[in-house]
Amino acid sequence: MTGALTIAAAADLIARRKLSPVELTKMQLDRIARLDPTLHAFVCVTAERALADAKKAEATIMAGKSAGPLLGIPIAHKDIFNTRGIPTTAHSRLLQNHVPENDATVAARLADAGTVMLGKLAAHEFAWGGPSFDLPWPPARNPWDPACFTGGSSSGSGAAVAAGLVLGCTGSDTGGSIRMPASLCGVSGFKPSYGLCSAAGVFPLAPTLDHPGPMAWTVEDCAILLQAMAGHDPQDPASADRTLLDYRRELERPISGLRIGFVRHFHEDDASVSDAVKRALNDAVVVFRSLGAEVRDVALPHLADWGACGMIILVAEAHALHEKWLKTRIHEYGEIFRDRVAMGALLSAADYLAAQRMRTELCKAFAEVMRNVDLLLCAAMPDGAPAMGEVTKMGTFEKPNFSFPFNVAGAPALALRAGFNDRGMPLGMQLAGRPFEDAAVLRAGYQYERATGWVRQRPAMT
Amino acid sequence: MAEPPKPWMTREQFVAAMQRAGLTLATRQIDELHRASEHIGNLVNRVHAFETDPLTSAPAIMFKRPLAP
Repeated sequence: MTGALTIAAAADLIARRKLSPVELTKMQLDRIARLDPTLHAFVCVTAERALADAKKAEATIMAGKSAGPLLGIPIAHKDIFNTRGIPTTAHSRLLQNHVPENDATVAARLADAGTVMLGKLAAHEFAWGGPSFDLPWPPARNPWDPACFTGGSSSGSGAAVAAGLVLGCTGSDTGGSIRMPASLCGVSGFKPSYGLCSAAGVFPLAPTLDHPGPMAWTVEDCAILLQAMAGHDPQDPASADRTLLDYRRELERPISGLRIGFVRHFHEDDASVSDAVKRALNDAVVVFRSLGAEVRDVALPHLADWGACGMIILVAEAHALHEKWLKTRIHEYGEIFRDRVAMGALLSAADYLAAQRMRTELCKAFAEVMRNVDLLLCAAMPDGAPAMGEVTKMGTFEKPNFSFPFNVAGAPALALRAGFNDRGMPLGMQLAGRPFEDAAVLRAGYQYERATGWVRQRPAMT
Repeated sequence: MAEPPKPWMTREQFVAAMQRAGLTLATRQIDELHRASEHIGNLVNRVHAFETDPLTSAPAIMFKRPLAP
């Protein structure tokens, strides 16, 4: 047993008493001890807590009680999710000594489902900006090539899943922070519909754009994690009160007849991508057609419109949240987050409200397109992971990314592996759907993943 | 020949905005961030150039009103 198991495979072995949660946890801790000094995916390993969780899970199994698919499964949380009694730093010097009294709602729900908590994962400071070298913890490294960027801000989450340090984890996504590291680290990352997973106890970046969600090696594993994380929470004013589907069971329904809109203009006209990404997207169209889906080109508003709208909202809301500390503790921030969020001082209330009015119009245009298709397929990143040194501080303002449209629209969006480039780095693509039709997005991703087999290849270092 | 783009904000306007927000920046930072602020200016201009109808385009503040199909 190498430890590089999926949640589904480990759950099956645990349920059949072929794998002990305690042994699995020890293997994961050994793996972290071996690989994390290179990867820096963790800011804190909670070995004692993990072993206690694992023993509890094992006792449940041995008592013959029914086991859910997360019982005894080792996971970790992005370090912006509050964990009771365990430091939660938001990867910032400002919160270095912050020890919450309560779990974030999704962390509590995952604990209730029987997961084993291995620790807290690196992020970009306050979930925006990076890689940073002036913070108390080093930036996470990409397991496919440690000289390369992980993407962010759920940087440790992407690295930990790719290296098999955890079987799944939490991430958060305000403008792509789950889907970008998922793409660059070659894992699956799902940004659910806005309000499906509670944000209570998760340090906010921009509350009207923030989406907590799961990251794991496969789409099936994301569906398993989502089942535990989703659901109404009165502690989150944006939480949606909706009936949940059985996301894992939904995966098996065929996708023949599903109508997929290919947003080709995002990467061919509005922004550029590598030839490898173009090939991967064209190949994905062929795969979906072979599965019986109908694929045709669709046109959404220009990618730069989504980017401008999302970025102005993000900067304004983030600045409002940090305004007090920027006045009194500015020197404690890392350079990248500080300089980006300082830009909020240049925005007026009129700018913010203009962006929110624009959002209304963009959402209307999105809904209009989605009357004629069930899902969207589009690029996730311009190419595979760049070298660490190629990422610039203000680059995020210069070019629109492919993720923002679905934060602005509050729509479910999945990043999953679609191939490799000529440097052997994984490439991602995105599938998105109508708000609260999360199951359809996961189902198409699962069937694509099964048809292509990209997930069989793990990073060489693991 | 096309006219070069007008700066979104002069250095003096930039410094005044930072002071109003209570941000203490070193001279080097001011120079660098003033240059970078052009990118924010481009985004702001794009937002204001986008046509919205003041009667129907209510700001999409989603707190307590999640998007629903």
